[in-house]
Amino acid sequence: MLRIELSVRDQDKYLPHIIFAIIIAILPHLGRLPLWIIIWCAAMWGYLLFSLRFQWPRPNRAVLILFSVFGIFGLLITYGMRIGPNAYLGLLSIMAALKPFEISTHRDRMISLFLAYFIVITSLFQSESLFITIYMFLSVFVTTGALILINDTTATFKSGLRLSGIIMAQAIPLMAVLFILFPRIQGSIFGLSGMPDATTGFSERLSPGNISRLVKNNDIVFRAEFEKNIPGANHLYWRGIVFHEFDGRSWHRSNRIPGIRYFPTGQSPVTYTIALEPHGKRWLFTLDRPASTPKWSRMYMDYTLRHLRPVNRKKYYCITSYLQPYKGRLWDIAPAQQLPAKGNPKSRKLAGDLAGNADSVEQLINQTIFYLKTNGFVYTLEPPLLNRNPIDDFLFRSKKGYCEHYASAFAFLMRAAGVPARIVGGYLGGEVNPFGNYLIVRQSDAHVWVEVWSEVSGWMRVDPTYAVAPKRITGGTSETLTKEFSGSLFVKWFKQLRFGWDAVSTSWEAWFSGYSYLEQRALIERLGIRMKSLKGLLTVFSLICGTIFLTVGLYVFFQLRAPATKKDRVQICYEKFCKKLKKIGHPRLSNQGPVDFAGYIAQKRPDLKPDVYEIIRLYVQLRYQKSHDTSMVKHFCKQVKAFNPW
Amino acid sequence: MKKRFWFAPQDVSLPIRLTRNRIYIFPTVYGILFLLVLLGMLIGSINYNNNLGFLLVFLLGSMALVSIIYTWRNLLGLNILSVTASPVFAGETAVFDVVTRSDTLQRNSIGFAFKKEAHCFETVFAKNPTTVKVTAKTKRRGLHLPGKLTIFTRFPIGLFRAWSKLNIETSVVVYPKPIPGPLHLADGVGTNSGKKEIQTAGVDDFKGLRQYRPGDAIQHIAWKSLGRCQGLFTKQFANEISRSVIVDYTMVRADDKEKKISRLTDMVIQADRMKIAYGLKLPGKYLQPDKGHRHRHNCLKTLALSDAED
Amino acid sequence: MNEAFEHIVQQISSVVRGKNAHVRLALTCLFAGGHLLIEDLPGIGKTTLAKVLAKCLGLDFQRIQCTSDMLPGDIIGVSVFDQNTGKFHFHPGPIFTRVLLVDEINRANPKTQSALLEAMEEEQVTIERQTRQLNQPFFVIATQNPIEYAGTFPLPESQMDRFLMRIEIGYPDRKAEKMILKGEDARITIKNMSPCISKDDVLSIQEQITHVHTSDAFLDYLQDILHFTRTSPYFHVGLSPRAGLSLSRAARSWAYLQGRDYTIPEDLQRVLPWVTSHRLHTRQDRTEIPRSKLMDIFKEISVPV
Repeated sequence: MLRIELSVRDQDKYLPHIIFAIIIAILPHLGRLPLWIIIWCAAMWGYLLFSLRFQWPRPNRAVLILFSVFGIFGLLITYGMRIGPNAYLGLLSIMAALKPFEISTHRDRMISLFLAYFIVITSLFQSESLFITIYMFLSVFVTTGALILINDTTATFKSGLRLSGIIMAQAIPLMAVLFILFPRIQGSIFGLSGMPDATTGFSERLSPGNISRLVKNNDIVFRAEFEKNIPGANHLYWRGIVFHEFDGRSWHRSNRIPGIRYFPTGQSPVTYTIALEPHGKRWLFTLDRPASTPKWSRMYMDYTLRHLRPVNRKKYYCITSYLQPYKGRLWDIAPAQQLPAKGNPKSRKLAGDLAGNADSVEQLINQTIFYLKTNGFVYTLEPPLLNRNPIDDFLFRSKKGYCEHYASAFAFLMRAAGVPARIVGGYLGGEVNPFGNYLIVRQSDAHVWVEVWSEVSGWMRVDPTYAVAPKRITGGTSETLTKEFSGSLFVKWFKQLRFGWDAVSTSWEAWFSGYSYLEQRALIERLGIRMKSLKGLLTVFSLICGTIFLTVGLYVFFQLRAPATKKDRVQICYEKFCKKLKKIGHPRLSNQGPVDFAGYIAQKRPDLKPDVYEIIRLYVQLRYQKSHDTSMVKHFCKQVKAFNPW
Repeated sequence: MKKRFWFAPQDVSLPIRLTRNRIYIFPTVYGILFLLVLLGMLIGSINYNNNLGFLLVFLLGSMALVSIIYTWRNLLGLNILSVTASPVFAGETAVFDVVTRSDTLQRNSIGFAFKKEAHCFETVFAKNPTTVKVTAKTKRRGLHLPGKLTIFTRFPIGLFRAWSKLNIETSVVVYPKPIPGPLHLADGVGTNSGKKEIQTAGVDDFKGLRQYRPGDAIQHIAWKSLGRCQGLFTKQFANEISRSVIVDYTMVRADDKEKKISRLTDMVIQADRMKIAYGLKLPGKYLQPDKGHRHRHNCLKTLALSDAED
Repeated sequence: MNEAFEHIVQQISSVVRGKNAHVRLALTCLFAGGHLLIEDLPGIGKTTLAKVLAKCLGLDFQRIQCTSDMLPGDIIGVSVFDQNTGKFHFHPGPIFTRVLLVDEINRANPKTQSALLEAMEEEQVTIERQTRQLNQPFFVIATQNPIEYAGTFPLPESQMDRFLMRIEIGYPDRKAEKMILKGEDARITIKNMSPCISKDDVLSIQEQITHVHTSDAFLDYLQDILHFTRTSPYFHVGLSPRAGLSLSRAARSWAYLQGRDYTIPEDLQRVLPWVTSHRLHTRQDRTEIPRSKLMDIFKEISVPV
């Protein structure tokens, strides 16, 4: 904790704690804040804390206003007019950095801590991961601790935190009930308006460097849980986007692909659920040939699936795919044959040669693969730059490249040879999490491959990269590229830990984020309440109110009735004895000693005299005499129990 | 039972225990702000169907709800045993000792204030009576009634304020403000004028010698006279026990009645400081000459409450 | 009930009629090793009580009538110049006795008072750099006249503390008074009375009383009382630790005289008003609190169970 001597002015007394609470609130956002704001905050708070310690001068009001103007300017430069959660967070951070300088009253302190709460709130619209959820509790805990500190003159930060923890623990059951029972609605009030933040991933254009940038990124794209077994590695080609148009340098997605209306059935279906992290684009990832369309999305003729809105929140969808290709023709294949009129002459010639030697499409594919295998091509993530005829330059000069180059060249050769071909962008493989038996697919698994059309077998998947770097396909990128890291015990252990955490958080998020109208209705109906009817709604409402009252009531009951000190057995028994006598109308006065009490009872009820005298004798002996053994306590309690004044 | 308005303070006699029907609770400005923010967040969460938003809203809401109990319980069952104050001079700030006791729990940061006066926060620990010093400004001499005592608390998180207003029957004697000046005294006890001294054997002033008697203290033997063979003598000492004066209203010259009383106040204080026995004579009132703390209080109180006319 | 003690009470009561409770308190005080202050009018029987106590316990008795010109030497004793031998010769004062009645102590001047009270506390006197032990046991009964204040020196609050108890005897009731009127002269009765116990017995009883057990529960109650007086709005200043010790001593003595070797809260309740009434003053004007009011106040303190 903060160890700053508080030999400071009274109004500065709580400054370190307030700053601490704000820092805790802001920490998970560091990645989203531009560097200058982080430095800005660190500098402000650092100066403030040191000024407490060493009595440095404080900036006056004019300087602070100047600073705020600078801060607003900085925000305008960074974010422009794009008002989104990031800009909002930036503004909050700048305010939070400056506010502590002018704290002098209780009101300022309260507002500073409310700022910390606001910062916590912004994190919610960022992510719903388990980590953020847990962190939210931590942040609320610390901020509330500081709030208690400034509201209670005798509190220390430690006692404030303790009370904050107690209050939070007492609030959690109520929170859980409210969370589960609070009625959810389908859809939204004002319409979902997700605010897109730039995220990495595929773009609609496949140009050099796109994939190699992704491969270096270790972020999770999605997780896939299979209903049965995970299919073999050669099937785990997660299709996301299909590039049809080639302009001589780069490939583009075509906008002219019609939507699919008819889902032909096929063999080897696999069913799986995908938890897609928000990526700000519309595509969803599937294996080969989906058999249906999930909600809020549309399937196109090239078997790509697109969400109706950009995916800005975690998206869950369940889907069944056929792993065998469909042999029939669904639509016009013309877009898969388009080539620019000019450019890459050498490649066109090579394509012609290859096509001349082949009788069928399959043969052509094999020969082309063979060509790539035998002519000294190298797989690398740092290829040399290519000139204006990139395919020629790659095939005949540099011969160094990664999946993008091979797929591009291969598709070009096919089209030049008159065979329809298209490039598919997506992810390959994924890590199996042994704790949850699901796949984790990261940006580093990004891959592009080719699909070639043949009249005989329909669209066939061809991965030209496999010809050059077979391990890239079977083992994933990390194994081919970062061999030196794997194997050490620490890495293994770390991996295990990461897998474990991922399994826990994934299943939590699947439940937590997925909990909405339908799940709530299902859960409540399992309790036997029909949500649709008025009676059901009333029941839910009364359940909520009932829980609140019950919690409050129980709490009040236990807190207010609880004895302040622990009692020993003698005391308990004596009180029981007094209670018995109280019931017959002879209560012991609080200032009445035992002997006086006995005398009083003997006077009022002479019949009880022997019993009462005996009990009092024992009590006095236990309480006031020098020595007694434990058996006497038992005897005393027994006597009290047997005592019957009625 | 007398009907009363909901928030109206109640006339109470001490000691009093703050029971349920004496405690009111309401959100503070911050509490209202907090609830508004929560409401906004709730709407946002419904709109975006953001479950983490719901969770935070319900967490903060439940914590606020639990804190109400803490705030309420912080006042509930607090005993106010007595409210007393030592007399002050007009214009000074009277300090009321509010003695409070908590039977079971420690009560943090409880504020006490008389109406329109400064408040102070105090923690009342369990079982031990705690004395809280609550101030009230005084203006005129006489009996000062500080008015309603507000006992409030914002513990633990400042979002809610519980309070209880008590109309306590307490007062403080406000002595007149002294106006400095010379000490006009009417000497003597009763009607006797002129000095009267009561002398007894003492130890302070040497008075003379007398024949030695067995039992006289050895320190008091006049060794010098023994050395001169004049015989054994004992030194005798005398104490001046008392000299009494009267502070008289009619002897004071001042413009009006209040000033006269202020002058008399100053004289009483002076006489007390000089440690002489003094009496007080006001129209229709007479206090026998005496000394000591109690007498001083009696005199000043008589002056404070006096409604003498010339 | 302690039978020997009961016998003593009986015997004293045969002289000091109708004052059974006060006799018990006086004995409690004596056996606790404390001193007694009686505040009452003349002729109530203070002297008789003191005399009969002394006689009954086999102790020697002295009496001092205080006046304002009294010197410390009149109590403690003086060195007298013997003109025959030319030397100083110490004449022990009346304080060298076992039961000392100091009549109207508030008439003595402060210097004499404090010399006496000092001697009571220290149980020794220092005269001319020579320390002399007082007799054991040593028991002072001082009396004060509550009506006549003229020319008196009231005992300062701090010195009141030296007396373990302060009692008021009051008039005897009608029946007792008749007995007094009917009966023979007290002086003759006392003269013919034979001691019940010896001074050595008194010493050994005092010794045994110090061993009376005070349990934690009892001490809790005692501490509650002390704490109450220190924080209560009724009192100007609370009881001092010395007052606490006095309470404990008195309660133990009371318990012993009841024939117990341990104390119970009732012992404390019995002696409480008599031990504390001269030590506590009201907050408002620092006057003493009437005993009945004091007893009511103490009813607020609950006995720990």
